[in-house]
Amino acid sequence: MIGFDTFDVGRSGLTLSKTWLDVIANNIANVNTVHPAGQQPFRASYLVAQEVVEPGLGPSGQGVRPVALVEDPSMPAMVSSPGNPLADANGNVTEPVVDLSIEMTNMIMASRSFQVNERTIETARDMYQAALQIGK
Amino acid sequence: MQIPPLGAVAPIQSPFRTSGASSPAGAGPSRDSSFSDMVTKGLQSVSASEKSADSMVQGLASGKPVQAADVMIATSKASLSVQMLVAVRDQAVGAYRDIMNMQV
Repeated sequence: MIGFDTFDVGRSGLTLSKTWLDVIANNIANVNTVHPAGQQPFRASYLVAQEVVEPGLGPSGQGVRPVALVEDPSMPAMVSSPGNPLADANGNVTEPVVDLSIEMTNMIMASRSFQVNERTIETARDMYQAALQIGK
Repeated sequence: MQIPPLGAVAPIQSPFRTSGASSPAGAGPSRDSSFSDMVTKGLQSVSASEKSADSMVQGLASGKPVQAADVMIATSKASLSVQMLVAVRDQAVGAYRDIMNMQV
């Protein structure tokens, strides 16, 4: 049955929002993950989205998909924490590269992105049902 | 900032992509695009969408990594397909009744 393209496009947006939230949740969960000084710290990941365009399927695209995870390249902070079992001889540990304020704002965006994609699907369903009322 | 011009918009396609689309226009209704074929194809696609929704619901219930939103979309598709089928059937039966009730 033709006419469900919006559903699939919206579904790709829902899937992306969900994946985005998964990545944010992982970043936030690791906000206290310290590593010994000198080791690579935990770095926050950011999701890279890309549009899906298959030529020959009409003027509109086919939605969005997650393509990659990019790590935050910022320098990690060295924090003195002598009581930490992971601390080096000087009592330093490497803090994770996670900015909680960025993660929280991203979480709001992911949540809203899920909502608007859900709304496009809902609108498409309403339009389909309105079309079925024609001639009744 | 330069705004690229909008390309030519593709013409609206027939809602039913029948295999008889290649028949020359004006040659009269071909066998491929008859009403019964259309109904048969509609029934098949309704059945396919129902089966897809059914397998997704089963997957969700049995703990497979299926997203709830995907299941709801699949069930919505199946529900809308059935509604479409019922609407077409109502119209067809209505037309039949109109003919049968004609005074002669």
